[in-house]
Amino acid sequence: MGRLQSIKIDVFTILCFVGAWIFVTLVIFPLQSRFLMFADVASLLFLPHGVRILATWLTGARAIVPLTLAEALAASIIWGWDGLQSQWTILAASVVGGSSAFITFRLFLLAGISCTAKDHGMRLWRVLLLVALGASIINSLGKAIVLGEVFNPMDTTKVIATFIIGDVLGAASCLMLMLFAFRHLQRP
Amino acid sequence: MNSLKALAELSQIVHGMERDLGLTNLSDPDKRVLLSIVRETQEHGTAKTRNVVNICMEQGVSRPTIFRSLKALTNMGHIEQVQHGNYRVLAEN
Repeated sequence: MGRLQSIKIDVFTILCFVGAWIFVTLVIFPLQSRFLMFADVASLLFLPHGVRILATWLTGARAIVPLTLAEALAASIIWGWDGLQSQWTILAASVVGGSSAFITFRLFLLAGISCTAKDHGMRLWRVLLLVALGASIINSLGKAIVLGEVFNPMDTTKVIATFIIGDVLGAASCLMLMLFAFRHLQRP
Repeated sequence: MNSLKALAELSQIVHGMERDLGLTNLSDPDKRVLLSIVRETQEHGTAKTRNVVNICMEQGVSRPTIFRSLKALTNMGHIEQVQHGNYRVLAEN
C-alpha cells in the first residue's frame, strides 16, 4: 500500500470516526436522554466503535494513531479541552479507545482465532461482532479507570454496561450501514 | 491488506450478513441452480457445469439464464469456481 494511499485511509478513518461521534452526540444522545440519567456520557448506539473495528481490521496496528487522534479530536470538539477533563485525561482515554480494537484482535490471534475471510468465509461478520464485544470490554474498563472520577461510583456499573451495549449495537449498526452502502453502490 | 483484497473481504462480510439476515434476493433460476450445485457437491464433491446445465435445463431454465445465475451466485459468495467447469458450494449454504 502506497504512502499516499495510507494517509488517505488515515484521514478517511478520522473523518468517519469524528462524523459518527458528532452524529451520536447530536442525534442519539438527545433521543436516549429521556430514558437514562447518564446519557451524556454513554451512548446506546455508539457508531464510532464500528469505525474502530473496521479500521483496525483493515489496517492493523496502523489504525491506532488515526483512531487515537480522531477520538481526541472528537472529545475536544464535543467536550472542549477544559470541559469534561484535563488534556492528559482526554489523551489517555483516546489512547485506550484507539488501541482497544487492536489489542482485542491480537488476543483473538493468541487464542488461535484469526479474523480473515479466508478462515471464516461468510461468518466473518459474526467474528467481527465478537471482536467488537471484546474491544468494548477492554475500552470500557480502560475508560472507567481513566475517567473514573467523572462518573458517580454508584453509576459506574451502569455506565460500563451502557458502554458495552452501545459499542456492540454501534458496531452492528455500522456493519448494517456498510451493507446498505454496498447495495446502493451495486444498484444498476 | 491491499485495496482490492480489502474490498473483496468487505464484500464478503456484506454477503455473509445479507445471507444470515435473510436479505438476499435469489431469483427462482438462482435457487434452482444453487440447489443443483448443492446436490452435485454432496454426491461428487464438486459440481460440473455440464451436469448443472443439464439438470436445470430439464427444469425449464434456459442455458443463458443458468450461466447468468452461476455468475450471480459466485458474486454473492454462495458458490465458487474451484477449477474450470467445476463449482462448489461455500460453507453454510
